[in-house]
Amino acid sequence: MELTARGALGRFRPKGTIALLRNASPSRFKRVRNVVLAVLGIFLFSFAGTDYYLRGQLYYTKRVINALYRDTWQVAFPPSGPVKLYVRMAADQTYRSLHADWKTHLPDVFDAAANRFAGEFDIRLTLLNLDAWERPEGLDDYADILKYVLRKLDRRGADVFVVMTAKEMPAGSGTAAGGTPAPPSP
Amino acid sequence: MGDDALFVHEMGHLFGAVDYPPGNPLYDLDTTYSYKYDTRTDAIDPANRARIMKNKYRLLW
Ligand SMILES: [Zn+2]
Repeated sequence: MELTARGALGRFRPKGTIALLRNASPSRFKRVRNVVLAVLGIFLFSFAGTDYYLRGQLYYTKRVINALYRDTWQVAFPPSGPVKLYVRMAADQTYRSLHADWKTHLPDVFDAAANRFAGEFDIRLTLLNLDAWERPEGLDDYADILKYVLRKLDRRGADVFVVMTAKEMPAGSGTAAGGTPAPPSP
Repeated sequence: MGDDALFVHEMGHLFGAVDYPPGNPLYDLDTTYSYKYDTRTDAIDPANRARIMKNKYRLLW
């Protein structure tokens, strides 16, 4: 087997990686393959690890996989039709204190956005429920809130979890403006 | 506007819409993705509309 392969390649001496692979004995080939896989694995693992550490979720990792999926599989088999998504919403104590009517206000906000997305993109959003949640004391920075929410709040099967928070304006300007980011979860 | 605009804004991000912070050539555009108008309009500019359509079938996980 080995002799035949050598014979066929007798006059052609490939260089570099190809040579390594072609002229390799089975055990050497396996070793090279394992090293390549290990390097790839370590790279992916550290990329995902850094990603998770910095963003509180596999943010860029998922984006890369999504982009690959979109530009390969979905090109070959283009999806069509509406997209249906289930949404949960939760408002923190600051939001609730600034919007006494949050229980009726937020479903209205949701409906307005759902109509937009259904009409313009055929993305159909369904509200599963609206909850109150307690933001831990001292957790004020939006990036930190997002990280916390991603790690601690359970989406319970919903596709999107919208968390409402608000900032109280410094004394003098009265009460604060509307709600602030609705960091959706996935 | 206010919350309505923010909700639309954040939802669009899920499908790849991008922000136009100060310094961006589109900062003065009347779109919820301009930091100038973000909470004042729920309009979505054509470029972000195209991004959302392009990513409509992305996986949410
Ligand atoms: Zn934004």
